[in-house]
Order: sequence, then structure tokens, then C-alpha cells
Amino acid sequence: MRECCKKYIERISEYLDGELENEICQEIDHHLEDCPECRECLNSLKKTIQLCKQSGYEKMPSDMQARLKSSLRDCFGSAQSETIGSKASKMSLFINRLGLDDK
Amino acid sequence: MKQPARNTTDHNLITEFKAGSLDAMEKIVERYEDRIFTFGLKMCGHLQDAEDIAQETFLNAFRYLEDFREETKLKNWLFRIATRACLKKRRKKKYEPDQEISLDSFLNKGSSNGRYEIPDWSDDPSNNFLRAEIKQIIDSAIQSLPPKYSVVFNLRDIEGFNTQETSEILDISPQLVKTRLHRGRLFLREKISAHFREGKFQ
Repeated sequence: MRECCKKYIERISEYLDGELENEICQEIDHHLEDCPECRECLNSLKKTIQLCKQSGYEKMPSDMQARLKSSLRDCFGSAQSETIGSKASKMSLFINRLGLDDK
Repeated sequence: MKQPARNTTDHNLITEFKAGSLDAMEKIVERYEDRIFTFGLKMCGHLQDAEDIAQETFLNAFRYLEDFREETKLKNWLFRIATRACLKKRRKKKYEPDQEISLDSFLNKGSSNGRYEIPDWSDDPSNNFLRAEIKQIIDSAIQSLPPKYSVVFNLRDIEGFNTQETSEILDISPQLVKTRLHRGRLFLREKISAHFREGKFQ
């Protein structure tokens, strides 16, 4: 590969991502018009990225979702129920004092 | 331009969780579990690893959510936690020296004419078998990237974080993100095209 090509190929990802300044972008545009090798490099890189992007997202299997929720509930639910529990016992004490309890 | 840090739905769910709502916690999980799971799977390659990473990420996230000040987006914060979990897991699983990918190894190969035959992704549903096979090749190529390149590639090209966000998630400079992304992409192009050139695919 020629030295001038190397210089441009080093920046070809930034070129594809639109992260280069106009001046260098235009320089690369001109170079690509005259250089089939760099054009091939650009196109194959573009295709690689597209292919990887399209390989895309996985859905978490439902048994894993259930285990995840269950361990989060175990971990954070107890703090919550402690609060609810202490509120409930205070409430029953209050009801007893008022003599509203059935017993 | 910096994007606004706050997402209204996330903000409301965080507030509800802080007030004690477990339903809000589950809604947050539902919003991000597939993305965190995919990230774990692409980084580490096994279902069990991806499950461990999702568990660790959400447990830590909710443990420290009380202190989360929403200066950053919830999604970015979750990926920050997930990234550390993935890198820790990869370090534990196998000894991977801090391998560098050299740019010269891609540039000094003489003429590239016809060298890179990259297939197109088939959107034809009858081609499920072909798609599954291409996907397997891609996933194994991504997993063969050394961790520091793999994490940048996954965050940038799969998850769609921009350079600045990726640099904040990883605590590295934007320039280093660009360099690693470029080398990672070139590495993947070599790996994927080698499969097709050498007829491993079919």
C-alpha cells in the first residue's frame, strides 16, 4: 500500500463516522475518486460495520428474566417489606389503643 | 453538542424506585435487560456469562441508585457498570495479555484487490439458515477481539454510543476511542473476510 493511501486509511473510520473536518474530508473524497484500492478498503469496512450492526440484539430468555427479577426482589423487596411491616405493626398498636380491635 | 442527560421515563421510574416502588425497579429492568444481555453475550460469548453480567449490573445499579444524581443518562450509567463486569469476567476466565492490534499489520499486505469479500446481510426470511451462519461468524469474530478493542466496538457500533459517551463510560480519551474502534473494525474485516475467502462459510 502506498504511503499516501496509508495516511488516509488511518482516518477512514473517522471519515465514515462523519468525525473529520471538512478540509480533510474533501481531501479523502478526492483521493477515493482516483484510488480503487482505498475505495475497496472503504467499502469493505462499511460492509463489515453494517453486517455487525445487523447481527443485532438478542432477547434475554424468559427463564433468565424471571431469575433476574426474582433475585432483585429478594435483594430489594426485603427492605421494602420491612418498611411496610413496621408501618403495619405501628398501625395495629394504634388500633389496639383505640380499642377498635375485634378481640 | 452534548445531549441532555435526562430521559423523562427513566427519571420518573428512578424517583418511584427511590420512594420504594418495586414495580418501578422492574420497569427499569424491562427497559434495559435485552441490551445489557446482548452486550454481555457479545463481550463474553456464553449465555451463563451474559446472565451473570445482567445480574451483577442490575444488582449494583439498584444498590447505588440512591446516590445516582442523573448527571449522566441511566443507560450510560448501566453500561458503565456492565462494562466493568464484562472486563472482570474476561480477565477471570482466561489469561488474556493486554494485546495490541497494530495498524501496520493491516496496511502492509500489498494489494487488497478482491481480498475483502464481505457478504450482505440477507433480509430474506427464507434465508434463516444463512443468516444464522453469518451471525455465528460475526459473533465469534467480535469475541476474538482483545477486550479493550471489543468493548469499544460493542459500545460504539453495536450499542450506538457516540465517541464522547464511550470515552466517558470507559474513562479514556475520545482519541483513544477512535483509535481502538478503527483497529477493531479492521481486525473484524480481516476475520470475517477470511472466513469467506477460505470457504469456511457454507
